[in-house]
Amino acid sequence: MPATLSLRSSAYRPISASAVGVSDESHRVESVIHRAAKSLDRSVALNGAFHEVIADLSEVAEECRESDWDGYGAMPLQNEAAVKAEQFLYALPTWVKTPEVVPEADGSVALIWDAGRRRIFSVSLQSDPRVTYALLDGTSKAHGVEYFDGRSVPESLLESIRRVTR
Amino acid sequence: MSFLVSGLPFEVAEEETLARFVLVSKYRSQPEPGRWRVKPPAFIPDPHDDLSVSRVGGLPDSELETYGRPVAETQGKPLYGAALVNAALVRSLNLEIEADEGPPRHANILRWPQETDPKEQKARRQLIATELADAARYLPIEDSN
Repeated sequence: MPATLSLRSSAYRPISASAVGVSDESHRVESVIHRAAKSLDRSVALNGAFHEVIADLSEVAEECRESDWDGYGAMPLQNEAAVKAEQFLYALPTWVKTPEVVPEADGSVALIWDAGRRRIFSVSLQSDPRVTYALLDGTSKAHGVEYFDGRSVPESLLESIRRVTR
Repeated sequence: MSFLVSGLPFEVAEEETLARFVLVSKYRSQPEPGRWRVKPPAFIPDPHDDLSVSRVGGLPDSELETYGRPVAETQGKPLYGAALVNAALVRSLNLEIEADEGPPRHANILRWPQETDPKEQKARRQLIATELADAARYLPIEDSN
């Protein structure tokens, strides 16, 4: 079993503060370990969701590789678009909730954060570094084009994700 | 007022409901039981310049499958559901709706933004599609897939 699993907070039961013979230093160590274990739990959960979204991307690439996959004349999904989407996903900071992967009829891949009514942000990726985005956030909305170099997600896009998922 | 073969008036009224039939599973999600969301790419017209819809105003939900099924069968795709939007909303986004009956009740949503920069055009269409998807009511037609 991987060592990390043994640190999960559910497996770690804090010692009661009233326990006899436990020093203040022990309590501080205990507290640090407990916080670390809870943090690790979040990482494990995010990791699972991340693997799911990567699997979704593979599935979408496979299902949409022929033209007319949507029944309305869609273009085949570009393999380069799927690669760019994967790079984008890997470049996201760990605090970002995983998006939904949705194919687009022009051969692009959309990554969508849909947090409910008037709280949607989408990024559309093709083979080239210019990505398009659209944002609905309450009464405000925005759209535009940003540059993604394959490694670093532009701060403006992260801010939009933060706005809809906060 | 002129009427079409379906009996509908040629002019699409503000209060009419338009259905975009969903033939791709990834175009909808169910964030919680009983609540569905349709995704913006379902409303992007690419690679065409217009979006094919059906005029379903006045029809009960149970009859929508009657119109969606032929669309799906013609294309050899499963029918997952219908994303329903109001004609007034479509026009509020500076789009137009034009009846186009070959198939009964068929119409097109026209006048999507055109830009010399294809990326700028995509971004503008993406935002409009997001507005439509956000306001749409998604009706699943899953039981007969």
